[in-house]
Amino acid sequence: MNKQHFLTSRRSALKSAGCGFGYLAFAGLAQSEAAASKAVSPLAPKPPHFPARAKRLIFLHMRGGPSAMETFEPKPELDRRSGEKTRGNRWLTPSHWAWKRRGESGLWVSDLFLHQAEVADELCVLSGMHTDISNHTPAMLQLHTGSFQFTRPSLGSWVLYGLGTENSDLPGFVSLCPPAINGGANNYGSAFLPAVYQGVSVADIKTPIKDARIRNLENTRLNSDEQRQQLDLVQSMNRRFAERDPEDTRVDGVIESYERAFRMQSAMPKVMDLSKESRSTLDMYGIGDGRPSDNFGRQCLLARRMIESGVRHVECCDEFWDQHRALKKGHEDRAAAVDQGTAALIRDLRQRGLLDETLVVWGGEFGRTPDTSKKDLDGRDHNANGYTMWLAGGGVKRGLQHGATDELGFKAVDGRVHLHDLHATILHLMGLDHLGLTYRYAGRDFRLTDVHGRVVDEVLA
Amino acid sequence: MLNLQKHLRTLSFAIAVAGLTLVNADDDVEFFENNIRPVLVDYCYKCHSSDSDEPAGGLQLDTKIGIRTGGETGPAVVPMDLQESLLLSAIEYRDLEMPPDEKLDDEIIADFRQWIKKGASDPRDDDMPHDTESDPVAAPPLWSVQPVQNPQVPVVENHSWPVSGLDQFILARLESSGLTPAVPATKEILLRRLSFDLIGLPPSVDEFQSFTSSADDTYPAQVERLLDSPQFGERWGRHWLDVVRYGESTGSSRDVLMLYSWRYRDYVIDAYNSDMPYDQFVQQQIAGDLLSSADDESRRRNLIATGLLAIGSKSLNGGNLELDIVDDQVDVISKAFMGFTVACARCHDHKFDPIPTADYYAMAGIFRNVDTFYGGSTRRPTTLKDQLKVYLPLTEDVTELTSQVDQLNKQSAAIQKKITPLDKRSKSLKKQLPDNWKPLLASIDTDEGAKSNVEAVETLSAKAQKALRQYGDVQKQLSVLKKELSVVQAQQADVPRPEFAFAVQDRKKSQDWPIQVRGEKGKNGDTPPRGFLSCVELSDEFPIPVEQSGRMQLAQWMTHPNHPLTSRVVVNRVWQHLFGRGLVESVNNFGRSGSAPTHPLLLDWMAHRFVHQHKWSVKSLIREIVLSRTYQMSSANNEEGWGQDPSNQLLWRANRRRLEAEALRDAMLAASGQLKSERPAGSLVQQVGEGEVGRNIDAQPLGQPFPHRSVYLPIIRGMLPEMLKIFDFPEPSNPSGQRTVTNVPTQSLFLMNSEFVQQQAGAIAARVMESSSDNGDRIRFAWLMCLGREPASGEIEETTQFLDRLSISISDDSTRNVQVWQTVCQSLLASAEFRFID
Repeated sequence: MNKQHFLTSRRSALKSAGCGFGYLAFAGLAQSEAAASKAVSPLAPKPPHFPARAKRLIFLHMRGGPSAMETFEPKPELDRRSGEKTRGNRWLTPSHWAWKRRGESGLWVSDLFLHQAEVADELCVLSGMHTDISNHTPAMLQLHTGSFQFTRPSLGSWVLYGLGTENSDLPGFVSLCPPAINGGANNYGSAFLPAVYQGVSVADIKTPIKDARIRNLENTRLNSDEQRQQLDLVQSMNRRFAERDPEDTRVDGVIESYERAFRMQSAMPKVMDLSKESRSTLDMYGIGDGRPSDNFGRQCLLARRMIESGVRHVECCDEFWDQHRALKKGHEDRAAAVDQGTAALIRDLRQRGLLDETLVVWGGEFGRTPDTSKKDLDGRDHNANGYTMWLAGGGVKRGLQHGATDELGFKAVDGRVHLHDLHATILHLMGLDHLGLTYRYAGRDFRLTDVHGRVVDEVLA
Repeated sequence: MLNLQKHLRTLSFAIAVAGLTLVNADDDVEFFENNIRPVLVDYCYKCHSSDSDEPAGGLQLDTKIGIRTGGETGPAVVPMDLQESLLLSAIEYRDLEMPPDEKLDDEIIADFRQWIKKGASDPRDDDMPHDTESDPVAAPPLWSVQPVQNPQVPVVENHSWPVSGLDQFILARLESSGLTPAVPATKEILLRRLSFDLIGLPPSVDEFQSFTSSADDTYPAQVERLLDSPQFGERWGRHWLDVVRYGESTGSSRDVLMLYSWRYRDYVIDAYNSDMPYDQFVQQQIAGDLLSSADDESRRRNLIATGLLAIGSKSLNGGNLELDIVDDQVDVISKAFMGFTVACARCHDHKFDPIPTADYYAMAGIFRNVDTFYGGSTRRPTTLKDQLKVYLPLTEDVTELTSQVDQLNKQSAAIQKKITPLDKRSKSLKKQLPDNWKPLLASIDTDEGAKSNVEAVETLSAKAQKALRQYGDVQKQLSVLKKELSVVQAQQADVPRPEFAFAVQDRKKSQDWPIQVRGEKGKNGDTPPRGFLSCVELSDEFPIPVEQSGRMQLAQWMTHPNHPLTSRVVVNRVWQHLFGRGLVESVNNFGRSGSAPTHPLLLDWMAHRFVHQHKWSVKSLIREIVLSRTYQMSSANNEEGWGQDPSNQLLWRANRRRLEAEALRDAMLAASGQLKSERPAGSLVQQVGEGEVGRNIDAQPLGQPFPHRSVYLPIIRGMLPEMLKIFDFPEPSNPSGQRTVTNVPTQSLFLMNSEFVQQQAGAIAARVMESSSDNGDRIRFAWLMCLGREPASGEIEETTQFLDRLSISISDDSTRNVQVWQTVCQSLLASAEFRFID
């Protein structure tokens, strides 16, 4: 009896907290799919804390740390003092590309990003970014989860937990081509949040997205009706098992995962199929065999298709911007891979009227130093003290550069935005109060921004 | 005693530090965050922060300590003292005028007054240090490098519960928190838990029945049975292979197969099975080749053990391969044995832990004097001579083999030398032959040709006749020589290749290695003498003779009974595998950025016993743990425990755990009766042969059915077996102590649709149908095989109904029965219960 009591209280608590409970987990209540669908899924859409400026989120992850002074933050003083010695055996290294003001806004974009230059008026460039650590793995974890010391839920999981997702046939949070290293699955994991909120990865950094076969999507033996019958049996077993410890959300996660998997069997091939896209769309994204922009272009187009189908959050991931040496060649290669797809995504979202309610975030886990230890001045090291990211779309100012690093680019000095502040701002734009989006675990209310975070009002439209 | 107190202080500090982030953000903090910090950031930090090169007036306002201690003129903020707080007088433009550009709004200044008046709450100690050099002097001592204590077993109120000291430690903490330990697990749950934990397989139906039906307590006997099983090493060896980033290809950008890693794999499994004392296990892996060995078998084993240092992932595509290999070796040694991330210190002093760069180069210097045999560049050699440059032969003496090969090489070269000019001559003669020379050739020197041919020859010119004759001679000689050559080539192919291994050898000369400034090759700093971690203090010293690499001394240092890390780290790993979480949760990180131990005294008590009582015997350690009441608790939830300690830090119940990929796969094979328990010879990568993933390998052999235990699946870094990958196999290029557990639709799809699961379900169905003709008995049998328990009556009823219902929809009479039973059995494999152990 006692036990019964605390179970009920938890379930009602969860329900009133607005995150409904495993709809199939009510033992014996849901014998059929029809009954199940009436109950509330923990992934069902939930109202935001306040009207959202953006309903969907795309993160273009420039893994490894792109250089600000090669992309969005011109440093004439740095160019002028090129070769000057800094600390130890290090020398100031000039920007490697020509700079122009672009569009009506006159936003600075270097010649490295000629495609993004064309959509400059859509961008809100944050040049005062800073974060806490300058090693890839911890920095990447902090970028994705807010913490590098502890396993914490990822941004996407928090968003999914806060807002649910609009398409119950597709995952609510998809990570395209994530690396298996640098924190791996923790970067899209749910940590102590219920497992249903974790991201689904498609392909990985070593597998081009076009080779991503979603395996096991078809059953060779049972037709769909028969398989549904089988699944009802499995779910009944799972519900019975869930009774052993109703607090264990992992079992709810299993139940949810089967339902989603069953529906994904028909929905996923459709959303992943680019064959119906017109040649001009594919060209716009730079998609084509042998083109350096193929892989990231496909990711961007898939992100658009998924967002359009109601997926809440998609992350696209590029290979390594980590050019300690041979920066010019390295950044050139990376730009050839991402620039066109990135610009196409912005333009495409705009054309389809989706940009106003989609937030696009671009950037890496940190930036790069203005100086180098390479005598040929062709390299830059990690810089967590000042770097650039950009936002575009739902609720942010257009054609704005907010913040700056010092005249050389060592540290963010104006309009400083800590990673925690960026997280707070992203949540704010999604209609979530970063102070209010909490989850009680081990006796404490956790949030994405921990005890930090400030919404960067200056960039809100 | 004094020492112990100091130790306790350290530990409680560590716990306090770890607990800091658990403090609830209260109103004052909220006020600071909303009203104070943004102002400081916007108006003050530019000149007054640790990020400023020279904070103006020596004042740093971006840390709590900075704002409280102040700058040259005194403290900027004194809590609750508006007069003494210089910051306030400055922003009120009373003496100093700050910020200099423009006075702040009155509202803001009022906020500051209120904030200081209320105590100037400042949460910024929580802030992680920014990217500046850490100050090791100011940092408190790190708990994990303090000596291991042998604490008193605590007194408990409930005397009847504990059966061992371990239980008393656990119970004492529960009692002091007002919690009670869970009831014992049921026999069926306990046996399933124990069996998976010890051998990674479910109990068989017979084992289950004999255990649950026996009136006596046969649990200790079950423990012994499982510890003695050869499958024990396959389970625990795989745990270790995670830690040492085991792989059978170079990973990285060029994924070249590594054909001999499996010898190290088998070595690890054998070591666990023979209960090799852990100190020996460590020594062999660091310096096995330098240890004396009683016989050839132990010599080979010791050499293979050093495979640890060779099997890491390799970047064969340029870069500083040599330095990277050293880095990988330092990384795996320090993480696996000490739970330390020493490799961070390659470029700078460790940001959190007491590991200066000099320590890194002292340790790395040891491995700089080592040749690592891992197979060489992307083009793997084919000749014995070249192979011997990149692989280590296990055969002690290869001189006979090499001389045999040399001999044959000489012979074949000599023959080839004769062939080459003859070939040339044959070609030039051929040009002088008449058009229809073929039939004429036979008659010219045998006289056996057709008469017409003989006549035809005679009609030829003398020159043509001569050419024809000479050509015939040359052809004859060539055919003899080519026959000889093929004989020699056959002999060459028959020369037995020595058995190769990946392993290491010391170089002839040894030297120290200068610090590479910022980790870059060739930028030399000071040269620290080779050595170990300076933060670990032992009662003995292990000086490294100039002419030696120092691996031997490293091995001795690492396994010194007083080494504070080695025993704690391994005990903690074992604990994790039996309870689902280590006493130190971050099993590979015993540094400051890792987690503090939940039960520091218990950890020390166990570590001390492991060395001094169990004499480094891992099986004894496991035995002690699984015989405890703590291990045998039920995982059932209760309100009291859940309310107070939902994450079960204090162990008031057993943790439910999800099976790892390997156990999941093996359990399916066991249930289907397909599992081959014997060890396969070598690895499938040998059947594939030398080559590189995605370029030139025939992956066919990898696709064949492989009914062996999963630990023997080929771990090609860029091409992991599907099921392992889907169920969270760790990245095999990095040492990994903990597996993540995800729950994603790709797993569900695998269980619903994959060929593997369907095949296993089919085989289980066949067994089930054979077991009885009665549906109830069949269901019972299926439940026992797959879930290790009897089905409840409701389950039998539900399943019977399901069988009837599905039968109607399947139209094919001949397979209907098999189809429905296969569907039921697959449902069991797919169920949540199958993959969790309670």
